[in-house]
Amino acid sequence: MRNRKVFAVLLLAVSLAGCAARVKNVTNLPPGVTQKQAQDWDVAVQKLNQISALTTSARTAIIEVHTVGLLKDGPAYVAALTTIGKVDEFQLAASAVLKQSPNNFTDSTKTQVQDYIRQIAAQLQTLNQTGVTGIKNPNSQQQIGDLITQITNLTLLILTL
Amino acid sequence: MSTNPVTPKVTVSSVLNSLSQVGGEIGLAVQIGTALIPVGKVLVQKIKDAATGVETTTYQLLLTEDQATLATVDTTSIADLNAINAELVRQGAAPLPLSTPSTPPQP
Repeated sequence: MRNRKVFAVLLLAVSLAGCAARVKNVTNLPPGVTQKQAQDWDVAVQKLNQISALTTSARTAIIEVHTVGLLKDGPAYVAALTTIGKVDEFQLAASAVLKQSPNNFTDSTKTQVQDYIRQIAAQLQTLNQTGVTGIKNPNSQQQIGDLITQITNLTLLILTL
Repeated sequence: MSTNPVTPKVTVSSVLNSLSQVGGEIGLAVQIGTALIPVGKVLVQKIKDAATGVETTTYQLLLTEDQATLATVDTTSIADLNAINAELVRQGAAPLPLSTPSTPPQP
């Protein structure tokens, strides 16, 4: 029953990742704001939102895997939780920068957002290398690994803006 | 000598641009028998092309919607941090700060 719950969380995460944000045409742009600035800002906001939803799924899945006994108490569980928590902190930091945009979504602002996104990607790499290895069930390990891959792919979309 | 009239090309973007520049409204009404009953007017700020799926939106609406999305990101992230901190405390580990990182991260 609990394994079904984990699977449902992961299924939801997969469906969320599939909702790629389309680039919109933006009208009534104020002076000084280009179409590309507005579109890049919008894509960054949409992708950050998807990253945030998937991070929640990863957090829920890891706690659930621990609850059902597939990830024991100890350093691996603490490391996994801490890593996801850091991802959340960087999400908040990126969100704070994006709130000042898009009327100043300049190259320097974009770089600032991308730096936070790079930190998210680095945390995910750590989670993939250390946190997930503590999960005893190969299927759960694979599913959470897939979730990490999806978040990483979304970070790449922001990094290529 | 005759010339063929040239029909200007109308795009979703140009329609929305024109409507939003004049504060364009579309009136909605219901026809009952021969009477047309007005039910309201809406300001057009977004058009979605059913064929291509491309969305055309005004800058003002984009700002409103995306700021709301960022508020959702904040709410979700803080909820995650609270749940994670509860687990960390149960594990005897130090909780994470709820504030955002104060120093810019190193690339």
